[in-house]
Amino acid sequence: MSRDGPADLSAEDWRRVSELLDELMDLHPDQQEQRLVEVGREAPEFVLELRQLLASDQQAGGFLDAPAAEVLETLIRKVVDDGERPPESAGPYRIVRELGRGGMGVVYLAERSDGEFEQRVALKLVKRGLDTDAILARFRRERQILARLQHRAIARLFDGGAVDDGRPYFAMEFVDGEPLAEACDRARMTVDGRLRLFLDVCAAVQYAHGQLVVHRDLKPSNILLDRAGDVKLLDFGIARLLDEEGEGPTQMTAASLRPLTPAYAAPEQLRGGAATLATDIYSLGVVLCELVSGLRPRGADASFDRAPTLPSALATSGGVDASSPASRARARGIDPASLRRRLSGDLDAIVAKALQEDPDRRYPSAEALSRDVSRHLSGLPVEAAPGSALYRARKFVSRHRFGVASVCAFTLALLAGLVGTSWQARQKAIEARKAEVVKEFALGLFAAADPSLAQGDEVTALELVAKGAERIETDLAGQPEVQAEMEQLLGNVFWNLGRSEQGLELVERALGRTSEATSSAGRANALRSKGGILVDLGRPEDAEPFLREALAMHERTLGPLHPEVAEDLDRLVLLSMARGNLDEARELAERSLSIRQQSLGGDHIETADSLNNLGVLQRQAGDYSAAEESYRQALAIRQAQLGDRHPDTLDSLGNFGSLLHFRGRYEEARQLFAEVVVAHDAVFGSDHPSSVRARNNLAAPLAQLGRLEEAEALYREVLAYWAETTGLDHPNALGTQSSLGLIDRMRGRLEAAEASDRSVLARAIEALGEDHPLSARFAGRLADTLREAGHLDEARVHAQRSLEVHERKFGPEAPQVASDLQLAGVISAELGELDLARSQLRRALDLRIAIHGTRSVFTSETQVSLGDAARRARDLDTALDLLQEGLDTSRALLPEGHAAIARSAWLLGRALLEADRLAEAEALLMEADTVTAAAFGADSWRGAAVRVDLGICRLRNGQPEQGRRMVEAALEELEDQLGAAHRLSTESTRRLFETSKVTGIQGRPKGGPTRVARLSRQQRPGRLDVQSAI
Amino acid sequence: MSESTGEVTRLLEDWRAGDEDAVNVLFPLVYRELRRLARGQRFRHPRQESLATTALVHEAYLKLVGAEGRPYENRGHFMAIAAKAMRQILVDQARKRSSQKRGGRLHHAELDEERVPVSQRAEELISLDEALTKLETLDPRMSRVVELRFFGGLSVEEAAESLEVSPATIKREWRKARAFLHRYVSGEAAPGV
Repeated sequence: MSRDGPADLSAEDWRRVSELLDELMDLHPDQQEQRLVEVGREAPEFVLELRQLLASDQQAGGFLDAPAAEVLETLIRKVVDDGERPPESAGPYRIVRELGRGGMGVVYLAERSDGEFEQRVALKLVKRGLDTDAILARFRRERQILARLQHRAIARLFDGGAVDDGRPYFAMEFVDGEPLAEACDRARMTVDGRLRLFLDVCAAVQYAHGQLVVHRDLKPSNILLDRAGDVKLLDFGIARLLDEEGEGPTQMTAASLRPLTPAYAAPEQLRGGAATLATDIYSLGVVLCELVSGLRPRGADASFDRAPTLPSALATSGGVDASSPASRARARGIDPASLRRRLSGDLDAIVAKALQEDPDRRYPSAEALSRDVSRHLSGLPVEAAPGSALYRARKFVSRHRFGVASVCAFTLALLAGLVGTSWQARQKAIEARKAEVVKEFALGLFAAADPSLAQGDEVTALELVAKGAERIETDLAGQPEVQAEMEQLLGNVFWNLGRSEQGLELVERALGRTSEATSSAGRANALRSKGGILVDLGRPEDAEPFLREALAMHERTLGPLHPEVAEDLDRLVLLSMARGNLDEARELAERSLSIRQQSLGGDHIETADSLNNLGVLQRQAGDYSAAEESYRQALAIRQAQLGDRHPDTLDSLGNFGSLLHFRGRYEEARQLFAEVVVAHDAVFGSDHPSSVRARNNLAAPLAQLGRLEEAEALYREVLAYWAETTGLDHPNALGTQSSLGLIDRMRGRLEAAEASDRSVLARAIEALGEDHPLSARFAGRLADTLREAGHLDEARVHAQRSLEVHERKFGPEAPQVASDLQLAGVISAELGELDLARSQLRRALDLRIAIHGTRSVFTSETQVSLGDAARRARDLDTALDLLQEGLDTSRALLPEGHAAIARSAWLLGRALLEADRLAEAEALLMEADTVTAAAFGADSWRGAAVRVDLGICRLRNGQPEQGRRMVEAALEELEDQLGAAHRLSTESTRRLFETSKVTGIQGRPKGGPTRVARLSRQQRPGRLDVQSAI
Repeated sequence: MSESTGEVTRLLEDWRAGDEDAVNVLFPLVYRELRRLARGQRFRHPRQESLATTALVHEAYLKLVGAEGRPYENRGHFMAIAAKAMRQILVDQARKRSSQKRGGRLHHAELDEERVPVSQRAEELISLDEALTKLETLDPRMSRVVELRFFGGLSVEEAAESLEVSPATIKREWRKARAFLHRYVSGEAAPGV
């Protein structure tokens, strides 16, 4: 449009244009066009002008229609205050220039001119019409309080007084800055940046509130950003001084002068109510809204009839102001659509909560508001919008990623499932209305889960569920079916949180109600839960009838191929496993898998659960290749359906790690577990139970790899966590303590290891009973430690116990049985019962070859032990073959310097020594010495044991003095560390003596005869051939 | 009734009788009274978002002319002066604000709650005043319609009374004036005033 068109018109032209306009404006657009063409012939000079005016007429809808007052009222207010001439001075201050003006008066830059120092202040001169005496009286009363307000983000109030014409003034810290919103816009500050500054504003307000000072007139123009980039709040407490509130009801006129800014004032303030902390919170809400969106939540009419417009809506709203959505978004470094997305959700909710009309529903403090903004900045759920339970659930679940603990992975999946459709789809038996009630109730639990609503920093899943359980009775009264449903559900959750007894109680309550309820589905589910918990409590016999009944009911009502039936079968799998009926368990697991594959499909996440269960069974039965395949399929489904970082997916990865570990592929296991730890840390944070358990897993291969310090550090970390959470008697904690005992044993600290193993075993038996597989495992650990300590009889008892339990629980061909047989065989060998030892070890070797194949560290371990037993039995050819094979396999599979290589080399060297292949023996024993020193330290008793043989080898191989000295020194170390009575000490002494005789060495080695004499007194015949294996 | 009421009535009658000087005396009187009233209104209704210009003008009339026994014609003339006075008041104010803004003097303790919008409205108001001044040279009556309606806050009927024309004429003039002003202003300021 040409700008100078109208200006060029003469009055004469205009009259003509005006007449034509009258005519054209009454015409229909088509006729208008026709007429314009005609005009173009008569008076072409006017056509453009007319077209433009007609276009303006079209666009001018609303233009000037609003009464000037509405648009210009602020200007009119300026008029009201205009004409106040600045005084020359105010008290000791000399007025320099005007800084600004507003509703309360004018602000001048002033200098203190009477002192020896120059002080620049902002001097606020209150407008006429206010009661100077009352204001100054209040100022004198409150100046102590106001002077006490010392906060880096609050401009200080220095002084107050009255100028010559009687108007009161206040001298305040001069802040050289720019209003916050404008400064942010100019800097094109992002929403995040603005929010961080807003946190500073909140901190200042919170501080002042703590000093019992309410601002009363918070607004962007009172919040500056100084040149250092720090936020400064102006006028704190000033509004109070200017207010007549509390001065008596008679002063109506004065009360009406109460300074406030309608656009930022809380509704109760506008209605004349008292200014409170809550009114400041409201104002902060408006400030926040404007800061992030660029617009205030309410238009100029400040009507509270309508809900405020929230930031995200404002982001793309044209508003009455000329600032366009694009320019506002640009000032925040993004486009309007992105800004809208950025503001929707949390920030809308936060602003809405701050702007609640009912003060009680706003944030209770500036700190609470600030905390919510911080939480938003950190991606945590915000307290705002308590009505939006779905939001809470989503946030809670997304933050916890389906789990507070592994147990909790299930918990929250369960609760989160209520929100989603899958759960409802599975609960077809429940009518929609009831499902809705259950859903509402469950969502209510998430509201309780919000940490800001709870006492501590975090609500544990347990607290969440406990609260829920309490509320079932009250909140769901009169709806027995729903109550039963919820009790059943929460009972399961309790159970999964390790609170089996509480879970059982709830489930039994649910079962009690099912007679009142009509739904058989609810009853069947409760029965299943009860059975499942009983299995876990170690009462499989009690559990069975419930599980069978649940299965029968489900099969009858839902058909034999329903996913619920598969769920029942899963529980029966656990039952069978608890009883040690691995074959039966596997059959059940395969049935469950088949049902799910048929009813849900091959790539359903519940199908993955079946595969995972089956994999565990296969792994326990030693069917590692089948287990690997099952795990692989489960992992693929979970990765596809849940993503790489879902806890279930990570669990699948962990299972692979376990598989590798149990196959003795420690380095691969370590790498995988390390990845899982990293992933868990990223998802949950390092102190999350899932992450803690991942560390526990990682420590195991580290220990096996001889990286004892790293392993110990991890175990200690994990144990500290258990101590704080589950307590040290929890099976998980016992497992970690047992692992620490193992590390002690590996380090040769046998006393510490023995004490630890005994304590762990005793507590496991106390908690789980003697027949529990975990108790059996701990008994095996103790047996191994006792064996090393030389207490072979007791060691045999525990080893036997472990073997019996494992055979019963896992079947005679399980890997655990192979390990127990290995241990029992070594003990037998050390006890000199060589036939028994060889038969036990032969069985162990067969099992291990069947389970692990020939290329396995387990197989090589047994080969070495069997070879050593053969050596003892003077079957040297067999011994050498087995030992050589064991050593070769160890070398192939284990990292250089591994303890198992040292053991194999030592025992082979020893057999070679007995076979008089002295050169080969010396080479191997030297290697064993070096590797043992690397694995256990230079002065370990294990190294000493090796050096006894190396010394004897050298002694017999033409280096008698050097060999004897080496044996002597090694004996000293053995006696120091294990005691003179330890079989390694006595045996070594005897062998030195015998070797000396054989080789006919003259002269008495230092201490030699004494040792021999002592030996002959102490040693029982028949124990002479005791030999050690690491 | 203040002593000035008689004086204002006499001046209004002089003006109607053709004494243009009477306007020069009347105008400051009305101007001051409007400002005083605006302040009073603000004090009485502090929580009201906007000032009722119409009420102000009517109140000024009552104060200055009085309600009873006065020639009805005086009222229309008074309104014309009052609207012009309001225009003067507001535009002066807008210029002041605008220059302050441009001077960048409002960084500290800028107390105005309407910060950005006001400065924009001030600019828009100045543009409008310029456009209206131009319109005045082309079509004095049309510009007076804008003064009465927009600055004086008068209804179509009241404006018709004041200008002694039919409401239909006021409507037509108003529509054309709006198109003219919008056309003029839209080149430099967004619509929305």
